[in-house]
Amino acid sequence: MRRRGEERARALHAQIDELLTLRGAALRRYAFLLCGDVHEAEDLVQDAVVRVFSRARDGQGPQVLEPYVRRAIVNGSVDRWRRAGRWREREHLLVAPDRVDGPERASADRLDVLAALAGLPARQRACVVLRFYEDLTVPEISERLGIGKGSVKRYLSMGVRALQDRLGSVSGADAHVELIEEGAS
Amino acid sequence: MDLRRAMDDAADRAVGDRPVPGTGPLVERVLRRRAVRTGTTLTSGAAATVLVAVAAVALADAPPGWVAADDLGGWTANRLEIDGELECGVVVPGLGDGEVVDDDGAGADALRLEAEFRAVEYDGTDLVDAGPDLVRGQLLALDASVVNDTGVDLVAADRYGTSPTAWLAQGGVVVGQVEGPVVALGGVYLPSPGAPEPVLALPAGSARNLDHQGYVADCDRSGAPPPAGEYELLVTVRLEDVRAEDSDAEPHDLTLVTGPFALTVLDAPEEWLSPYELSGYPPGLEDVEIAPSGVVLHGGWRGPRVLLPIGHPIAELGVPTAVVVWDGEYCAGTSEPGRWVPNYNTEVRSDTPYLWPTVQDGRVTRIDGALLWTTAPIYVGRGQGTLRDAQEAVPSLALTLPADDAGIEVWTTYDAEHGTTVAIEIDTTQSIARGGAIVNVAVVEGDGYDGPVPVGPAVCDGDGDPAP
Repeated sequence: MRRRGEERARALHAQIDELLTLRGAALRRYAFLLCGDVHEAEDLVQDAVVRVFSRARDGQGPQVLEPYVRRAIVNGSVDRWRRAGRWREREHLLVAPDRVDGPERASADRLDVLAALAGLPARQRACVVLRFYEDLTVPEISERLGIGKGSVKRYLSMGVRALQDRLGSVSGADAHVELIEEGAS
Repeated sequence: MDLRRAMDDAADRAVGDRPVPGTGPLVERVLRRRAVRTGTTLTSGAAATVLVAVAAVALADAPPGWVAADDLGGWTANRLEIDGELECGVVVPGLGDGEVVDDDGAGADALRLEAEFRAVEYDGTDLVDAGPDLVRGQLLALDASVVNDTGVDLVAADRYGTSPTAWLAQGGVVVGQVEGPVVALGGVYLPSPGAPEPVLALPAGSARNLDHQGYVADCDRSGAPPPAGEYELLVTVRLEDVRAEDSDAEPHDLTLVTGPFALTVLDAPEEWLSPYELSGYPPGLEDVEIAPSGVVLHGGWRGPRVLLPIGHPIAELGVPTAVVVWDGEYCAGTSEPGRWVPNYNTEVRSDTPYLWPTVQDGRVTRIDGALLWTTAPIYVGRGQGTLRDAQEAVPSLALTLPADDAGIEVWTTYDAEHGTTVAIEIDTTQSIARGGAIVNVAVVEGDGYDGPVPVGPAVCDGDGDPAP
């Protein structure tokens, strides 16, 4: 029995390795936009991989597995945001997490958009990232987040408005807001 | 600004060429998680396949007569006919005397439960078939179907998901139970505004398949399996608000039942390893809890085990599956490098469970932890819940340290049996209606509690643990 277990463990290792080698960077970029912190993004990806592979995925390749992992990442990001509040009072006993901002100055747009995204509640942020970074449609976002299409439209509308309040007009987003408002009426 | 391009650029620059974390630790975590002790909905493809393949040879006869085929208003159901709920200690009529109340085939055209079962075991990565007899420590896999032969389209409420369970009886008395599925949020159903209530559709002529796998626990509440012996097994499923789909008739709450089946429970061989020993890793943090005796692994594999006892010489724990290990590199660069650290990710974060030992004179004198949960409803010791939950579970809790500037207050209770103090830190600014939220649980040697201590990397700035 132990030998069979070891063989399965090796197969599992190869399966995860292939997924992360081929798609790991893309998954971390995706997670980073959802949470705004590279360390947390790595944790989100790892947690998602653990969650997805907790069920047997024998023989499934990266193309099949990636959507599951992405779904787990976005759900994990919303859950973390929800739970974060209970932690703050204990932080004085811990070492503050280090941040990524390096000495080099990045473009203003990049910093601005990160700051603007950071100001959005988790679901709004998830909707914005899924719509404008992942290019998902409203029904696809609805399906991935497990919320109604109307909620997606509302979150997108609120999220885009909040972004525009901070960033000014953003190309591509105006048309989406109009589309959403038409659809909501 | 082009939003898509700005997001793309931001993600690229942030993630960049950062090295990809090793796959090994992830595999470890997956294997730990697969070894979870409760079979909430372990829908392992391998296990399911095995069940289907061997079902035909597993079953004892299933006389239906001791259940009632009641007329429920145009349709009947094979339901358990006892006063109250089926639970430990209940005497079940028709069991234990070797007789069948009525075996004339009544109920064949009723709403009824059909079930098969097998023992399954964890082989380090997956669940595999282990035969019809249950060796203590194996999981019991139920493959049940709600069959509607009433000729009437029925529906039932499905608020928490519908799952079968099973009961072990001896002499007509329930003495053991398959651990039930975990109900999220402590069993509180929170409907979404405007969303339809979840419904289990049971059309006429349908067979709705329901699976469940869980450890069998003795009714002595030890968490251990029942002793080796011969048992009668009942399989039940609870259905709520069952009614004809197109009628306004009064709905019924039913416990459908099938069995009894003969089940033999065997002792586990001495050389058997626990799931986490088999995997070569300590159990997942989601499966352990902080108890007055220390860090405890609950569950069916030979019952609860204290993995990290308070007061125990810690050097004896240096095995791969120990929950804490000596790390000579931890706090490197300080005047006192090396610490006993969790045998898990040592980065303490706000949103993941953590466990942190304090070691003095070579013995574990304190264990701190938080968010050690997920396998049970709110439960003191798991670092989840509110002050009121804690007080209900442990009435002897007393306020020891009033709220500090950050709103953290500490409640403690002394456990004379183990000579330890359990301290629960409450954030009074959260869950105010329920007295505040639990943010940390500590079990401390002796009678008394000095206050919060550093955990995680912060221990390098505090008083160092002595080297082993």
